[in-house]
Parts: sequence; structure tokens; C-alpha cells
Amino acid sequence: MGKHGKSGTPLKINPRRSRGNSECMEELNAFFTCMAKSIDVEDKCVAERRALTNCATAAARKGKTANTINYHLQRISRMLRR
Amino acid sequence: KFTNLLMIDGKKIKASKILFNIIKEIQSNFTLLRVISKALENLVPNLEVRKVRVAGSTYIVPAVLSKKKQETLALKWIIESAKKRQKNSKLEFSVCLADEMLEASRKSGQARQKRDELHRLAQMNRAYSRYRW
Repeated sequence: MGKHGKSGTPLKINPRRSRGNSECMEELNAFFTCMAKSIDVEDKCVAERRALTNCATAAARKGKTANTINYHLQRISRMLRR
Repeated sequence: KFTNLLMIDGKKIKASKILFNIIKEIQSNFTLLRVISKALENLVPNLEVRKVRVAGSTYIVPAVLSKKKQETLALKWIIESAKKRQKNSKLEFSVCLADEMLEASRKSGQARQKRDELHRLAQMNRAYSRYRW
């Protein structure tokens, strides 16, 4: 899994791949429910579409948070060497 | 955005000319902004589907799209459908594009079918939405 540091080699691991994001699930389910009731989504599901689009746009703007585990591992290895 | 999507090999002037021809074509009989806004409204997909490999099996997972991606997809579909139309007929590309836009504003046409197909696929696979990446 990880590389154990010899002298000079910093500690590093490959961070676990995050299993998806659960944002906008409520809006998605509401849209699916509306879509199941009527085929014409433009007229009948306007509010659900708009909520879904707004949620997705906000999530895209927020972006993904970077995993900082390697930063902390290297910091700890520097402390240990001291 | 539409000009850039029409552009091939960096030939922006040619793409702009095509766009101007489309505008002329639509404006001759209809209100331009109304047609374009209606066409986009009828074509933008709210969802997309992607293949996700989990535990050895591949699932088709629906996910939401941001506004930018929705518009890009809708415009790409219009261009693809117009190219198919041009193959079967001897009309100019700008005329085919204008016809596609008009059909999209009336909720018909190949681009609209693509969108309905995508929504149907997402609806069928809604159970897998928890596998979102």
C-alpha cells in the first residue's frame, strides 16, 4: 500500500478513490418521480428541472476537495527525523 | 459557443459564415431569439449516463449535468443531426442546421429523439444512481 520511508524518502500513500458524491440526490429523485408521471418534462417538471440544474451548477462550482493525507504524512516524517 | 463547436481545424471565419447564414434563414420567417431559446429548452438534457465498473460488473449510472454541459450537449446534437440530414439531401449545411433548430423548437427531430433516449436510459437505470463517481 504505502512506501515506508528510508532515510531521505518521504512517506507517501496512494489515497483511496472516493466513492462518488451524494450531492443533488434529493433533486434527482424528485426529477425521476416527475418524469415517471409524465413524458413531457418541459411543461410538467419545470421546477424539478430547475432545482436539479441549479444544484448541479453549484456542485460543479464548489469543486472537489483535495486529499491532504500525503501532506500530513510528509510533515510527520519530517518531525520524526528531527 | 456555437461558432466554436461548428469550427473545424481552426477555421473560425467559415464557422461564423455558417452561423450568419443560419440566422438569415431563421429570421426570414420566424423570431430568431424565440426559436433558439425554445430549441435549446427542448433539447437540454438534465441527466447523463456513464459506465461505472464496480466489483467486476459494469453499471450504467445516471448523473446530473451542470448548465454548461447541458448546453454543450444540446448544441452538439443539433450539429450531428444536421450533418446526418445533409448526407441524405443536397441542401447546404446552414439550411440543414436551421431546419434542425426549427424542428427542435417544435419538440421534434433527431436531436430531440437523442435527448428522449438519454432520459429514458437514465430513468431505467435510476436504481444505480448511488454508484455515482
